[in-house]
Amino acid sequence: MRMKEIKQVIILGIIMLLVKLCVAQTAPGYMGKKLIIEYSVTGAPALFRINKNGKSGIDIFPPDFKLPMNYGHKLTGSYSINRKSAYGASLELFTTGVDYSNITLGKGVIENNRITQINGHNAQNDAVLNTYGLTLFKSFYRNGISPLGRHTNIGIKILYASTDLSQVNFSSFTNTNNNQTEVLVYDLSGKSPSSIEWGFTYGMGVNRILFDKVVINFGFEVVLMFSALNAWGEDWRGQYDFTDYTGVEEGRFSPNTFNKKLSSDTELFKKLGSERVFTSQFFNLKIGIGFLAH
Amino acid sequence: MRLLFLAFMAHFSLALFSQDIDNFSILQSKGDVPEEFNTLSSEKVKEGIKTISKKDNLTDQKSAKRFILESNYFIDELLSNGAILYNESLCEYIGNVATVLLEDDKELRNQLRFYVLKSPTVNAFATDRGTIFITVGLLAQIENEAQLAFILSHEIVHYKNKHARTGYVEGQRIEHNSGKYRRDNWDKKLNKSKYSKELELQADIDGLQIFLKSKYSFKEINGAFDVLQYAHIPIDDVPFNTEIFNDQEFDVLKNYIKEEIEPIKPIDDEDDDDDYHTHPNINKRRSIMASEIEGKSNEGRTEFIYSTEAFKHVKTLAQFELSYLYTKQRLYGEALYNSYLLLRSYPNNKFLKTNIGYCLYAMSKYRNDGKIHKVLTDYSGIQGESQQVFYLFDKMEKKTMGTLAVKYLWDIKGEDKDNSFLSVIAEDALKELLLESGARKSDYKKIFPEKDTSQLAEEVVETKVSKYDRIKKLKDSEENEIQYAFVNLFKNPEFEKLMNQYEKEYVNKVKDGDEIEKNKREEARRKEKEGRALGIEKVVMVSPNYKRFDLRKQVTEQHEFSEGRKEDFIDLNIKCAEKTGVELSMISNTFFESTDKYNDMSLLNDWMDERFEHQNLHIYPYCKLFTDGLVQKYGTTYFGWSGMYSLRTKKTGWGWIGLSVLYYGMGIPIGIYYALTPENHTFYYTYLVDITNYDFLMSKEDYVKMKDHNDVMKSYIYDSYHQITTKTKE
Repeated sequence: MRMKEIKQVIILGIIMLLVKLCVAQTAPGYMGKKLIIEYSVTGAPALFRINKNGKSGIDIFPPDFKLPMNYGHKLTGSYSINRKSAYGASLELFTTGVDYSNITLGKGVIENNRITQINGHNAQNDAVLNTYGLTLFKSFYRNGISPLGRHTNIGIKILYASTDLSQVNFSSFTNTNNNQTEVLVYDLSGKSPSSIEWGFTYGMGVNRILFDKVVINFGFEVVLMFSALNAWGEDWRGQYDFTDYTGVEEGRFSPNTFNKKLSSDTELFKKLGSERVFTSQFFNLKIGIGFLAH
Repeated sequence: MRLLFLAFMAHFSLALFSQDIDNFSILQSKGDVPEEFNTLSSEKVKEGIKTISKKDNLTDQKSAKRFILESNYFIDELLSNGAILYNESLCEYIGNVATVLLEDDKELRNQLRFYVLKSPTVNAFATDRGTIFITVGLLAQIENEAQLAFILSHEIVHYKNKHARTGYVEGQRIEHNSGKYRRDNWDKKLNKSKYSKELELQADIDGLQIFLKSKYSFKEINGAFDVLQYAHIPIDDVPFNTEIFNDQEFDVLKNYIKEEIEPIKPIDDEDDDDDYHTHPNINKRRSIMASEIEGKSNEGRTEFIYSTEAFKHVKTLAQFELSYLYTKQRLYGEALYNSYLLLRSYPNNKFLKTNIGYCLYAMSKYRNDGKIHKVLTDYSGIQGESQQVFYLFDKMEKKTMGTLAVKYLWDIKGEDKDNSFLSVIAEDALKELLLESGARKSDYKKIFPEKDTSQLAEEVVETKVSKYDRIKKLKDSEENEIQYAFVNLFKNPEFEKLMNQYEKEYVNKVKDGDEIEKNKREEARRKEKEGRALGIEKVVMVSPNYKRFDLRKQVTEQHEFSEGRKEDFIDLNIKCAEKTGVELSMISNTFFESTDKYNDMSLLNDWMDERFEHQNLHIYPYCKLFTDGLVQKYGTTYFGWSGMYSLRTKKTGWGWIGLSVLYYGMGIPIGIYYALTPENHTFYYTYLVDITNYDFLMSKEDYVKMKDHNDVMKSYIYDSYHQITTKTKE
């Protein structure tokens, strides 16, 4: 989805919200209050992919207990437009890790149309993925006591995902099949691959209201990041990525032609980031606290 | 001396409390609210538990405890929902007869309280805490004071010997095979019945001792058993004649006569098996009593000691009240026949005529809706002369029934011009006739016929008429039975004007019916989502209710918790009304400030019960006749009923939890929490009505699968008041 289209969707959403707010004066809210401002923590156990600290996999039994989590922070505002529904928007920051353990970047040296040498760089640390998101959603309260009780949220989410490579160090190596050696220093400076992703969100939750003011919330959210769908399910972490090489027909170190899809190392970083966005956003639990503002 | 005093009191109280039968209005409680109405049930339970003997075995103690809990809450619910009368002339009378009976046992007399239960059935029962209930149906049927005295003696023994509690404890022993039932308990139902009958016989025999101490005639014991044996027959048994409906050229009965009326059979015939009954066969009881009094002289004994006049008055009041009770229970055949019987003695009584008019109106509505069987008892099960009434209305065509209702109502409306209720239902009956029963204005003639000489000639050529002529003729004969019904009414310009108006409405309805229905459906859908905007400033909330049930426990209703939580519910109603700006008056059934409030609550609950029974039928409740007066009193026509039910059950959905427990055991804590906590369900309702009308302005019924936390309670209550007070946008 292009930026222009995204803007159009946002504007349309805002207009719809305003129209609803104007005509829906019959909403009782909770004791007359309809606006909730809420801070929530989202998270899910890092089962198969690493979190920002590079940890993954769980074991709840001592002595090997471990339960690494991915966390995010969310600021949400929602407004009940009638007893069965509410509109809302949330801003979020979500951080996780991108596994670079098998990433090798290399450059082939070609002589007489043959690869004679590969100068590669293995990643030593994992990258950190920061995402900044905006979600516009509608909540459906089937019990008719919005903003209290069980509800289902359906919305659209736009994310700005940025991979922080500052912790990633590439150590160099050289493979030769003759005596020529060329050592390259892989330069990461100035590389901060980023992308804008969008998708649909579906979530369920329960709101409780304490002392007529404090709102607590539990729930979960499933996000299908459509824009990152094509990045998911493919192994971008092949052994080689020939950033400046476009074709090899023979040679000892025949490259994986699959990797030729990517035209640059930055694109590889982006793909890895997108894939991680997809997996990290897919399912998250949510616990929040807020207040009835108006 | 004491009897002299009682006689004086009888005269005095008769003068003080007597109701003018010509202007009869339903019976209502009087005087101060008895203390037990305003004492919390939990306090009564605490006191009751103190009476349990520690010497009893633990199982019996437990059973007694449960009995005290359940019975106290049950009795208090009966008292607080307005179903009884206290300090009314009927209660006073019963109390005075009891005083005569217990002249030598003042201590026992002082422990007893007599209330009249507003029920048409013939019954009396005593509770363990000294409250004795006598039904209106029983008072309407007994023939003299001595019969009542015998019944009271029986009930007094039940109280004195705590039969209710001992019966319950014994029942629990039978249920759990304990004590003497350990070995011989193959038929629990039979054992329970056997024990219950033993208690009843003991109450008869010991009651007789109390009875014999008085000067009441023991010949009347037989009479009392007659009352029980013929309790299923109305207050009298005379042929039903429709002269009250008939007019020149209009005689409804001639087409619906039942040739053979079902003969009357007593309850508990000689051969009736009472093995599984709670009470012994009446004939057996009769025989036992006869043997007990054998050889005793009845000399100097009398049917009346307290007051003959008071008895007659009480009986008449009860019989009039029966018409009301039958009608509000939608037993229109029974009500109509009861009023018919009374009308023979009180031919100009407006209450009785209005009652008959209402029964016709209601039956016509139900007939048009195809649900007459819901309000008219099947005539095949009726014995005696009243069967004709049930047969008549069962067979009557809807057009005829509507016509009869209109004719009767408009006729009596002319006689009772101040009766606004009558005007309202008379107009509504006319509207119903033209819009729903298929009758057209053209079906009714404006003048009576002249002698028709062509009829004979027609009969001669009968053989020559075609199939279609025959069908047409049959149809005409059906219409003929109603065609002269309104000849006199057409002289009333108001009647004709309304008839024209409803005829036009009918035409429009036929034209735009689909559109109207579609709009109604859309409106209902919108209201469901956005709520109502009723713009009402003042409401009266009646009998707010809260109950919690825990289906995991043996005693499912959590009485004590409910009692406390109900107070929260009432408080939150007051708070939410205040916050939304609704002026709220509360007629609570927890604490009665005055008898006035108790009567109002009772009347309004009757209104709502009746309205509920009518379901979607647009019909004015009969109780409107008496509730219209409350509009001025409370300054509003809007009355509401609200309540919450909380239900706790066992969890059912173990699938996901099971999976999460299995998965690395990470769900174990969740699984434990899930297993230990119940599944909660909360039901909330608010019904708001304009009691001068029949439509529900708000019928809010909500369900949430959550515990009834304060926030849940507040949300629903606030929403109700918000909808009540919100004004429609211009």
